[in-house]
Amino acid sequence: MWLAVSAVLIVFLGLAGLSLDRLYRQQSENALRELLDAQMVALIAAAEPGSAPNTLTADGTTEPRLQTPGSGLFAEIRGADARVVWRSGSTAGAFIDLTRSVPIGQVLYADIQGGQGEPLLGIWRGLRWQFAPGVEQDLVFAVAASRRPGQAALAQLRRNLLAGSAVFAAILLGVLLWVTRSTTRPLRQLESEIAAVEAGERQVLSEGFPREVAGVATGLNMLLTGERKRIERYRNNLADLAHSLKTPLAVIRAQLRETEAGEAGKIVAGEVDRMTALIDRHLKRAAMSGGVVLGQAPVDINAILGELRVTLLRAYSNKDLLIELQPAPGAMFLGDRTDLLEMVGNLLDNACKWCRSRVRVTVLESAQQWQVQVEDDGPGMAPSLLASGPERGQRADEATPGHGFGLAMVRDTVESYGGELQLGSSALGGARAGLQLPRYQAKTAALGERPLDLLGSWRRRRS
Amino acid sequence: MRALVVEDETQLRESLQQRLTEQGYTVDVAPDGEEGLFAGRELPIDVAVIDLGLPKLAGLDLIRKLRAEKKSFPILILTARDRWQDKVEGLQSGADDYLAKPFQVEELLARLQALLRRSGGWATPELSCGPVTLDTRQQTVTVAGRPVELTSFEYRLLEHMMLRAGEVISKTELTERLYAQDFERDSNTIEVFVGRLRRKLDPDDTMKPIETLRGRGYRLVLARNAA
Repeated sequence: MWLAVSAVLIVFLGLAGLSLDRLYRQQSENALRELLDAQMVALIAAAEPGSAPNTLTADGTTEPRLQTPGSGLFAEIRGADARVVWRSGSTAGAFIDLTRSVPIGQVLYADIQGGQGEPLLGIWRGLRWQFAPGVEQDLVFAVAASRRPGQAALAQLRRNLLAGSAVFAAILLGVLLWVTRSTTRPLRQLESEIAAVEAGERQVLSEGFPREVAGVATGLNMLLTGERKRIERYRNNLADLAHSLKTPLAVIRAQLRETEAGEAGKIVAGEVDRMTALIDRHLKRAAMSGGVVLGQAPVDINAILGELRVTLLRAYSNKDLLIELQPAPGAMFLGDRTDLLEMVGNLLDNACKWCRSRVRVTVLESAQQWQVQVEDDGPGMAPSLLASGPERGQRADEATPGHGFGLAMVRDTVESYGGELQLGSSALGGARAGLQLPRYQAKTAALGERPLDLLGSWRRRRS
Repeated sequence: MRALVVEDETQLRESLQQRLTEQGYTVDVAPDGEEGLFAGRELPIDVAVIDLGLPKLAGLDLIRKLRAEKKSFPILILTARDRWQDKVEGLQSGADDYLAKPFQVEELLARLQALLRRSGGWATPELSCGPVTLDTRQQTVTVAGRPVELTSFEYRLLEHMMLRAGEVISKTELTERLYAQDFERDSNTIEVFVGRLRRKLDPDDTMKPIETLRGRGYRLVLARNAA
């Protein structure tokens, strides 16, 4: 914006300079003509018959420049036959040819060259001079003035004009820059804070924006905190629902003494397990936040893996497990902590469930993403699962036990973050699951692009 | 053994009380978090079963308060929330194990047994004998600062030997400590685990951390470092 205004300003100042220059040239031309007219009148007035008969002299002129050689003002009187009748003293050595034939009563202006190429403007006037009654002679009066003083003044004016304009433009542009910067400062601050929110470095925008953008900042903050609170409330409701559904199941389970209850007891126990699995699967799927929520602090992937390792070693305390962690320094997930825990927790749980004794978790870094790779030394995944992956939108009660449902949910969740779940075989002899988590790329967008980008990410998340 | 059951659902609380009493526990019950905190503070509890969704004082807060008051008895949490987040948070708050609702009472009993056997009661979460350091929070082991990858059985074996460094521990006792459930185990398995542990801790065979006492058991000969 500042550049555009500067360009307009420079064009405007240039045009103003040009028209000033033209005006001055015209005025100095007019002034020169007026001077010549006046000198012509003075010359005619000063002309008087000379000492010889039928001669004319203007030596009585009061104009000192006409008597000073090289003064730049010249005068001459010639006869119709171009014979010189009188010449001013200033023409001495100037080699000026003022010969022109002008009809009686006419005036002529013309540019001529003086000695050494000096530019001159001349005026000629044709007159019939009556020396005595009946004695008349046609004469041409000529006056020429040098253009050099005028040109020098014009050059001086141009220099002054240029210097003045430059100083003026510099001051004006400086002021303009200062004004634009100070008026767009809140916008630039807003831009950098929104970028920080996108990067997860800030949770909300700061307070105290000026009035013009305070409304936008407050609105964005309400949107950010509202969204996070909504997800939290939703999850708490789901957790409460799980609790109230499962407690009666737990009561039934606790009342059953399977070893003593016989066939009926086994059926009841089986159905209780099935209901529990259904509740878990449906509620877990519903509790996924489903993509990037703005204003979240990035989650330390290595720390999450450490916590899950301890949890799983306790959960599988009856199995002789080796869980090796190979973290990558600085691995951060820009997203919901609960989602990451569920995804990696499910993959690790599967690995611990199926492994013989060894589970290896490796965090790999690439330019675009972090990859969490979980491997085990178990029997590996079924070829059908490897070929087609977990079925999309698979219903909980249709899922195969073990790898099926958990993987479908992990896949759905990671895809909502723009990532990917890759299944394969491990060098350890068992299954390998790779969770590709996109890295946040800090964008350096120009002012004006950022708010659109923000809207874009809201739209992507809403859809 | 004195067990505390903190559970707000009357039916579940009563049936747990009954089953635990049958197993020979002395059982104290509390229907909410506040009563649970009172019982945990005032009674000589050996092990506690705490539900996470409790009225008045939430289960996680109850565990944090008990741990802040240096109550070190093992705690098993019951949770209806089958999320990893809750499991991780539960263990971080100071619980020792968790069980998702609904559960088989037999599994609960087995886990309580395992917790009781494992609880030795130590001052710091980091055990250090000679060059060997064991972090009970992270379940990691280092020898002279170098990390050593141990399987969970090897880890538990070492943890038990370090807790009782200098003492002779019988194969039978080690077998009991190793397995959560009372399966019949061949005592030769212990010899295999001790052999693996020796190789991992002391690959050059210079430190000789574990001594075999024929017919009596094993002894960790590394001196316990001051905490």
